[in-house]
Amino acid sequence: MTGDGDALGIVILAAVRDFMPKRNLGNSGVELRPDMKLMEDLGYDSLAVAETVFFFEDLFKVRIQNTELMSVRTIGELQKFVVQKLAENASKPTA
Amino acid sequence: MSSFPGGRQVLVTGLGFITPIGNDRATVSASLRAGKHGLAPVEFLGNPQIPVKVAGTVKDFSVDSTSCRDWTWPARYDLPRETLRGMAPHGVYAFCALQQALADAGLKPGDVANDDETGLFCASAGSAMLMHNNLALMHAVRGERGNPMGVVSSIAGTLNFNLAAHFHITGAVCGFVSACASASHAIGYACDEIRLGRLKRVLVVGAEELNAETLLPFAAMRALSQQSDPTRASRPFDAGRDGFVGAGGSVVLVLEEASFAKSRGASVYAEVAGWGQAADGYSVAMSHPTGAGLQRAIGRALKDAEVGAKDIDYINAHGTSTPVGDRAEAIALKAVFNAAGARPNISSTKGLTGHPLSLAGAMEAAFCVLAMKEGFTPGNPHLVTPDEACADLLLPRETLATGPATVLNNSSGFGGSNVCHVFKHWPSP
Repeated sequence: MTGDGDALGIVILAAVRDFMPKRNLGNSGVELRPDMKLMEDLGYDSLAVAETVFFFEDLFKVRIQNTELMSVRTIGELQKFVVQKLAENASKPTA
Repeated sequence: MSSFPGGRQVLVTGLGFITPIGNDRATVSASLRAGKHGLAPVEFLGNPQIPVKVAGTVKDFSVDSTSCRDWTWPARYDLPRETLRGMAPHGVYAFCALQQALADAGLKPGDVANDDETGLFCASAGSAMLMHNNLALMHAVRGERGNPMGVVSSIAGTLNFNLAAHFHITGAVCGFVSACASASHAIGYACDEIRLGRLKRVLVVGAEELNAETLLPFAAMRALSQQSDPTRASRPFDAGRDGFVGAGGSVVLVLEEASFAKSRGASVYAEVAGWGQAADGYSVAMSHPTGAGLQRAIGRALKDAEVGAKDIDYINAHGTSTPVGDRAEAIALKAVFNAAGARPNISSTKGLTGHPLSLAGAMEAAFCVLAMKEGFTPGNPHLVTPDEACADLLLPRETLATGPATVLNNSSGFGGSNVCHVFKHWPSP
């Protein structure tokens, strides 16, 4: 997949907001910043992280391993990870 | 008063309804009084050849999709995303019924959270629809990935898992799986836990979804009515009955120990005076021909409640409208009641609702105590020609304008599980 990196960031932010437990920030329109931590700041638990990953796998047709996720703690890291993952996927030769 | 040590009594103090005949107490009461059914035309899998034409549908909800993102429910219920994500379609019904029951009991969600005295006993068969969807994905990708919420949203127990987490229930949480006796088992064991002094309050939840995956397997058993006329499809005890009509929904009962309920000034529907169970030991799916297990279950319920057959003035029958099941129940009722010189009014409210499987016992228990509280006795509006096995049974067509004082509620499930409750009128203070 190639394309508009800014648009990709917007899609990822929308997904983060959608899977974010509403009891913490609700639909309050709080601005999501790249430095926000998924678990500590947004109330994600491990299942919510797994659900988000499942969604990205479906949306972008990629496979994400548990070990790859260990380094992703903030929104910014998630955006960077997804962009990198898509780039890797795009560089793979197609059969 | 039960014979349990401690003399604790169990009261019904709150009800919540998401049913084919109404999604609130007032509408359910009006439907029962008017004999108004909740059946509607259905078509499953886009196939008009399927001989299942009507069902007890749940109105004002849309939970047909396999994605919870598509589901809708009445806006008055506050169902957050982090709770919804692990739910089955019938979990949405149950969530709404539980919020309704708590409000009806004069309780706030915080009153039952983390109190170590409130239990949650649930009954459902899980979500065959979501299970099918999850397993289809698993096979499609040869087991390499799956929905992280697949297990908790689909297996039997999905109600307990989700509701316990959301409402922060810490007293006790468990589920019951005895097919169409499941919710009746939940009420019975909830009653015992309170009488034993282990819990002060139990939220009893029954729920089922209505879709192809839940209902059509019963068509394969030749257990479903093929009628397209809603007034003829579910006809418990009628000579022309041809099977049951499926239904979905959820009902919640709040049960509380009497002194505990009194101390907070709770309004009371009725007392759960006792219960009994016994099994047929006969067939995986069919009732014993003379309702042998049901007869024993009734006897045990009467004994536990310390009442005689003549004390019962209304029986809410299991009466699913199947030829074999209704006949067995009629024989059992005659053996217990007519033989003792008793002739209580008998009706099966499944004529109005259809048969909601695991939910049936809770739905009908709630109908019973609602009728006791409000002063009416549900009838059998679709009954035209009673089966000859019902001779000498009192099966009123119309709703009676007087309420029963002592009620028996019957449920029977696959494998010959029979469960009966006795409810007694509880005088207002």
